[in-house]
Amino acid sequence: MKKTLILLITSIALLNPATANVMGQNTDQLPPGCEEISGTEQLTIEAGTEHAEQFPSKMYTYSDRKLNFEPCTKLEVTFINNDSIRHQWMVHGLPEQTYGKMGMFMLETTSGKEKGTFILPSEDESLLIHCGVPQHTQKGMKAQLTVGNGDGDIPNVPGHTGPIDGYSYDQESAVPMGMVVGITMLLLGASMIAIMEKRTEK
Amino acid sequence: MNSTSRNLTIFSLILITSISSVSAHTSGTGEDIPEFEKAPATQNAEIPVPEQMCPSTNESWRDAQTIFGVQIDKSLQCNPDNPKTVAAVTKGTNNVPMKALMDTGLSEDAVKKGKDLDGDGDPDVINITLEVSEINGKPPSDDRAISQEIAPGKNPGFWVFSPKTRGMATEGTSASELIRSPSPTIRVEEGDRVNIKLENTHYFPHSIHFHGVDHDFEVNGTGNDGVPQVSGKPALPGEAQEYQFTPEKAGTMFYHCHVQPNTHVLMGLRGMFVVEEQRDNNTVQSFNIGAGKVRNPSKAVEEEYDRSYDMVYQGIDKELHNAIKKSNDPRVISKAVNKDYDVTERDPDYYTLNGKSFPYTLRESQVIVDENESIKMRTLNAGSEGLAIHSHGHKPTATHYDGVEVNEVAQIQRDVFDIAASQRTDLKINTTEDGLNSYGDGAWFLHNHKEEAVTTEGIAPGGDITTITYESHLGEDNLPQKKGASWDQFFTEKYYEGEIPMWQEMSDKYGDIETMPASTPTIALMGLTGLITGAIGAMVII
Repeated sequence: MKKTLILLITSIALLNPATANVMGQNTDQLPPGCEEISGTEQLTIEAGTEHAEQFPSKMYTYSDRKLNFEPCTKLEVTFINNDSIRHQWMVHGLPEQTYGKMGMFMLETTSGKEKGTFILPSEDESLLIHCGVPQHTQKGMKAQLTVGNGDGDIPNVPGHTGPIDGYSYDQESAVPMGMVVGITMLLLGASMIAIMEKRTEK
Repeated sequence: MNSTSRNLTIFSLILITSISSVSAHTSGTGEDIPEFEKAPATQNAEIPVPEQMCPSTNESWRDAQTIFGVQIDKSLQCNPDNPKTVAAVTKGTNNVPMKALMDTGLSEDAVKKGKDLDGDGDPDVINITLEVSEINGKPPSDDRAISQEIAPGKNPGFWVFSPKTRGMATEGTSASELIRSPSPTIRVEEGDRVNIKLENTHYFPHSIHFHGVDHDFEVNGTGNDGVPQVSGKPALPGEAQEYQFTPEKAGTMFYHCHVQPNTHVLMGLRGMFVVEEQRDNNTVQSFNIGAGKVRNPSKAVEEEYDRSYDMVYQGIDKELHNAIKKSNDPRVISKAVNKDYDVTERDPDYYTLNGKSFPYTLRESQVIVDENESIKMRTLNAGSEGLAIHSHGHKPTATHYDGVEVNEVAQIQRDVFDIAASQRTDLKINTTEDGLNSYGDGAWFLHNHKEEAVTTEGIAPGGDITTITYESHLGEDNLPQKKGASWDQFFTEKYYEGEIPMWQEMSDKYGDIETMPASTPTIALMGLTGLITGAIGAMVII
């Protein structure tokens, strides 16, 4: 009987491999400090290139990048990937006692939809959300989940916080403009000296 | 002459008189040691603690073993492939337990193997999914990117095709082990119905051209040759594209991106593509991650050879590869790579074998052999420069060029093989000691004999050097036994930065020269030059 049950569970897992694309699923285990679930919220996040169109320097991002919920909220997340490739919605910084060593909740899907549930921690924190596919974070797939009042801002979140290692877009125009200004100032200075010398001679 | 010019002239005369008197004094002909015999002292550099030559790995990975019913040959490399990954890509990622698959970092649709259409005991419907990944991109301040060194302290950027992975691919994860240069060798069997899906996870458009592989130009009216100008639009970021073919001819081929190939191929979007001869019960190893030893050789190879190796060579111009570190804005990178970088002025700094340069080549790409064996070594020149492969101690035989078998009587045996850009040559190494095929056991160098290719930024030994290592010459750390000069310095960044004097380990006679303070005449001469230049400049302006 036990063997049959294991076989059945294994078969279901193989038939539905998408279930393995949810990590850190937690519908009822209260994180440390939570005496009860403070509320249940539904959240739908879309992901893909189309959401990055409003940001000229980004290639991928999420539909919502700045989220705010009360501590101990139970979040039921629907993650919709509008692209034909893999994307993740991965939350970091969750308590290890509840979410394991990685302290992580993740939904991953190649196009289509994935659902999962987790419970937010009891402390005010600013949690990083990103996609771990190589270069997707750097190219815009980053968001901030503020629990309560949070504990600061996460940098490089499109439309929310600026880059901390940004590229200087004026570097190409700065050199020629600097040269023009420099030469102009030099000539101006020389002219002033010449005028002053002439006045002295007079 | 105004007062400024007059004063400058007087000062210059005084300075010249002073210099003349100092020069006369310093070049005097006294009875001391002649000036030309005096030389500064030798200065040796402090050699930092070398990194671990063979970083700890799971030793059981080297053993011959059977996983998921797949026979995995032993691999005595310091850093062997994960046998579970080899088994999964051979059996098919859809045919192994999910938990085991998760340990490998592979996605369940990385390589799906389906029906045995001809009833010969192996799957003939092969569906492969590739992603496009970046390695060593712009160092982020707070974001974790994949970082890999090709040699101590050297981490040029790469774009690679990688088997579709799952979960995070940041450093230390299983998935990150699958993402590396070169792009993986892909293996199928003659007559397989192959479908390769490219999921473009990158930030530029990409395609795949299957160079030398028998394929139709179009499939159902859709381009199948991967050339954007004549074969349809490439896959844009976030899009997927499929290629289908049933190769009828076996051989060592090539696959690469054909979007701006002058930069995309060089950036790493290329790998070896092998069509194995058809045999019964011939389930081939669909991916060889990082190339190197094939731990599950095909039946046809097993019939004739004792071991099989995939060898992918490439030169790297760091000016191109570091252009992707300029910014995270795809527009900036596009300009830096496609416009600012001029491939006609290409000047490689690094030379790699299977994505690494010496000494890292020895960790995973030694050609390990035993006496009286026959070794198959498929070589691909994936770079832009010519390749002159030279084997010490052996005269291999070229059995195939560009996947076509050479008539046996015309097969050439020599110790240097010229391989032009994109060409493939299959070499057969016979380790029978007869004075021709092999000169006996040892740890024999195997390298590109273009001398710049045995250096890393001009410092030797580096580049694509590896060894044909007889098992009896393997050391405890699964690297060749170290004899002669110490290897410590090769496993330091400082050596490849040129900060350790050549042969310092053997003799003080060749150390760096102590820096001497500049002489008085030199300082005076420079001062005078500056003064005159400044005076002329001032006069011109006024």
